[in-house]
Amino acid sequence: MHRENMQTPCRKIPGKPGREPGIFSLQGESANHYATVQPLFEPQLSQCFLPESLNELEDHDLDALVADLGSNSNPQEPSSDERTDTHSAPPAMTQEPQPAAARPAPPNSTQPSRVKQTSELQTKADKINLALEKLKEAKVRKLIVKVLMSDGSSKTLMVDERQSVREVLDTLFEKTHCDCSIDWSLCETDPELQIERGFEDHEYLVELLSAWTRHSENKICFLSRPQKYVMFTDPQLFYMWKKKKSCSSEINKQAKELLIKEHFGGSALIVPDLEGTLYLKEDGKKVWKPRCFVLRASGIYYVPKGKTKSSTDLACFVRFEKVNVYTTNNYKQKYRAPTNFCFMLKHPCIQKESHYIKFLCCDDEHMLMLWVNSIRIAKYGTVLYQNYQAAVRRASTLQTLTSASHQFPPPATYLGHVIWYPYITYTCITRLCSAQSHFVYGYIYIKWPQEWTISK
Amino acid sequence: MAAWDLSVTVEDLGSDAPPVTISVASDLHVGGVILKLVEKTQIKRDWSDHALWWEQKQQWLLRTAWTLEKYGIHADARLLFMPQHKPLKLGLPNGITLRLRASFSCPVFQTVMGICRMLNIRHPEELSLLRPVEEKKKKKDKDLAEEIYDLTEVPLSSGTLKIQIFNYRLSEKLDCNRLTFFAVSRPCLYNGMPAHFVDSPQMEAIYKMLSVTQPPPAPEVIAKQYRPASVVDKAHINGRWLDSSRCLMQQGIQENDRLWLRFKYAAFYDIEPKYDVVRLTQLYEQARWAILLEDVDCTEEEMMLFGALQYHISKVAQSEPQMLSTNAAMDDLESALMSLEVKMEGENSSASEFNVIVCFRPKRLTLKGYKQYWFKFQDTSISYFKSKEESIGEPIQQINLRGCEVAPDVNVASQKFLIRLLIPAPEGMNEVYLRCENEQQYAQWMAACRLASKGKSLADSSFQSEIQSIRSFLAMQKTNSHGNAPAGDESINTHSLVSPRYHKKYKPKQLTPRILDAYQNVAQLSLTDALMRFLQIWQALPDFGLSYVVVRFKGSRKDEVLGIAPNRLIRIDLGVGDVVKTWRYNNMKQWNVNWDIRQMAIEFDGNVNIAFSCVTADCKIVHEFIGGYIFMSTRSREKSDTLNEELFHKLTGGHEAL
Repeated sequence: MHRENMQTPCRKIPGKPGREPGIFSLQGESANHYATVQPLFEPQLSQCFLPESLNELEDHDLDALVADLGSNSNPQEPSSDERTDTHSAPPAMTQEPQPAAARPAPPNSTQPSRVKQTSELQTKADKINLALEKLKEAKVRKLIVKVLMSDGSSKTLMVDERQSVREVLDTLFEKTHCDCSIDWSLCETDPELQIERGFEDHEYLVELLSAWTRHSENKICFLSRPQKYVMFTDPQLFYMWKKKKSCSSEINKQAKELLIKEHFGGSALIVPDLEGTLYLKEDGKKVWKPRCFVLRASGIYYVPKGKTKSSTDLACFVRFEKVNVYTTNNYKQKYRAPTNFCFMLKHPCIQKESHYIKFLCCDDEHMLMLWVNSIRIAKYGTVLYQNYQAAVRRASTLQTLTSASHQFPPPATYLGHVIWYPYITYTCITRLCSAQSHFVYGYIYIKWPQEWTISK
Repeated sequence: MAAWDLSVTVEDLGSDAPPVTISVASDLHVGGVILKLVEKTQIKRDWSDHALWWEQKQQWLLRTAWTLEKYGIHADARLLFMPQHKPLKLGLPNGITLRLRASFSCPVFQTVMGICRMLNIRHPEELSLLRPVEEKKKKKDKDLAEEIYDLTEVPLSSGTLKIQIFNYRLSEKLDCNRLTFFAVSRPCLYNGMPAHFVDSPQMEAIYKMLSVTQPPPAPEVIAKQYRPASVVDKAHINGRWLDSSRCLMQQGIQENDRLWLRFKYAAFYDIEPKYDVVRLTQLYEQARWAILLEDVDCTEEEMMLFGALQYHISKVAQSEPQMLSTNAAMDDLESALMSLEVKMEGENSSASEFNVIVCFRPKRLTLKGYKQYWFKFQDTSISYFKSKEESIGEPIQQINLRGCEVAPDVNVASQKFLIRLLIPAPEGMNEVYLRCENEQQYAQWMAACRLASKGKSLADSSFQSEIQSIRSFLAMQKTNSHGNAPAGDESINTHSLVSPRYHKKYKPKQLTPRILDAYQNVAQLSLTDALMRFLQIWQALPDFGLSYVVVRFKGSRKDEVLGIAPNRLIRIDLGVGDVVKTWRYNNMKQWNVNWDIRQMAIEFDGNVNIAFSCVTADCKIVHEFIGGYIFMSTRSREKSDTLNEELFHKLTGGHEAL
């Protein structure tokens, strides 16, 4: 390492007490204390102090710090007491590979006289680095979640906040021995609003779940959703939607690939030029009024009364940065919608009926499919395509692996209308709030971001 | 064979000089004629670029081995002996005019290749030349002589290439394959510039003009430019494209004539900011003008975003040195320590009170008025207290701003600094207004709120730059609200960022908050990223990439508009004003041009045949557009980076053979 980099640890770094409750940190002053400390952290009460300056520590302090953090980052497996649970989470799923294991603290640090100063600085720097990683690791939020299967059973797993939905799906593939097709998805259902949304593969599960309220009835389901990547398996439905269905069904594989290349492969993403009449439920009213809506990359627009469809006349109805699109269940009854083919746009945090939710209703199931998935294209853009490509790669490797070793179990029951009527079969609560009790060290904490006041 | 007299006008002798007469026989080849001519003039100079132009036939005699008989030249032929490369005034997409030497003898396609090589623009097949729209010259404008940047001293394009290859051979001893690869697709750069721009400071300055975006134009300049009002207006510009298969001389272009260089095909292949500095800049300028002049329609929201991006790009371009991308990979330890430092500082700042008093009003609870509280910003939350003294205890309320919407409501003139927060909660959105006392406080709190909404704490390194960008934007509003403020570096009239439609609709100070609103999502982009974002949004517009031509379909009695896109043709009924039919190229079986009656016939899968004659553009232009787009779609990385010129001419040419 370069000389000038060696100087950097000597910068004076002012230390201040951390204030966040529940964050795991270090306690005590003396070096010995670190080595022998009993890890007894109660998140709410612990006084969390960062060392005055990492640089001011002696070498053996750092060793102790690293060792301590190392021991903390190997929590026991959560002892799961769920009735239906058959597999408990393997540690590999919840833990990132530990740098500590790959690089044990060098033992020569106690003999500083025999080591050159540079290498001393080097090891010190390494340790600081390591310590920082440990600190980061310790701050990682983890949740224990229960995922409902399509057969009514459930699986419990631990997810940390760095795990994307893709990784969680992979874990579920291992646990369920399903056919690993690209259609498998995790989706949330909200029985109060009667809505459902499939999580996108790049989203982070813990972050998504933190939008739920504490006593939420929401559930997570693992199921096969044929519409998950329909825009890539049948791009002609979206990009040639004005054509008659008969000629778009005849389209061959090359033509599909060309459509994908044209709309997703170029330097810019092209959103389907969807437009048509949708019924809008006006704020706080029971009436659904028909209006002409136009989808653009920048949002959904409507044609104001007496105006034309030209771009400059369009009025913005909603933009996609802060809202997600949800499909609905039985809105004909719940909100007296003209049809049951409704979708809604809302901020993920909103969990109750509110005038900040936009309700829209389509004429038929096909239009609903077009609108919902086209909005996903507009919102996620090329990320969606990358997700699809990753899912295809994943499916092909997993399928070859499983087919080589043993026979497929029969594919999971195809839930024909699961998109619209998802939770009739599911009953139990999905998220366990008692995650902390499973862990001795207590560095897992769940922070509910929507709380307005701090409870004592 | 009998000798006869052939008179040739030698351009270099001056326009008044009589033609030089030489004695020739019909079996003399063109090279021999030139040799005799040069001997007779007794001028010693480099004649290698000169060639004979046959005026009656509008044809260059470039095959020096052909005899006069084979060309069919007799004593009555009017021949002109002149250089093949002549100066041309070239208007670039960014509005700058260059004077440079271009080939008047090879097909325009190659001429453009030569120009692009000189200007360091990759993928010249996407560009072409067109005759400019005549500007109505007013007397007032006369004294404003346009500045023209001279590049005529640059050695001819083929020469430059050789020199570059030679330099490579000397210095790096690359093998030949690699060499051509470099020469064709990745021009070798010195100091980030092609060799011929390094010669002098003047040349370097010109390169900077090419590769750095122009500041936003004055609103009057935008208003003065020609704006197409309808699809038919837009169709007229496409009649101006030059024919790619014929040379400039054949199309009546004279020395020192003015032409425009523009991106013609909306299929921009393999943009690589590292190599495409000039290409990216010029593409952005073309896109910006297309937006400002409403060549491509967009919604009001999109216009505000384009405005915000333009503002950001011009600001970053001014402050950022020429280097477009600097990715100094930080050492592991270094970055670790940096993050530690930031973290510590973060704890520092979030622990110490963000000592400002902000007035606060939860909208629906109280009808009017703001109440003063002591506010504290911590991580991504704000807490408020009755007073500073009570801030040690429990706050009245703590609000997490993660995922919330932050909107400005500012009027500098009336000293109104409001931050509108829409905070998501399970029951819906909570609307909260924070009123700041002054600009300084507003900038700080606004920046903090924005970072928090993205889940970043105040410790984030972008905090200071966020504050800075908010302040500079406020400064803009300040100068605008005082009417004719002196034009400083910081002040940009917001009317410079949007099309004239919005000049009428909004005053500059009404536009500022709208643009500021859009600006918060792009303020952190680097110059390259901002340029790319602008281009992406432009390309995502529904009407992007459509070139219109007014046509008359076979069997129809009225004019209709044909739109040519990178992947399809559309038919627009002028009566309905909307697309009535779409044909995709991948369903196209073949297309035919009847050069005699100037009609095009296209056959699609499933026995779909269309035929039309072109009204506002020659059918060669339409033919070239379609063939050109087919050509653009054949490009792929696997097929090497060399340009398949032959294929282009095969797809777009064809009528010369007849």
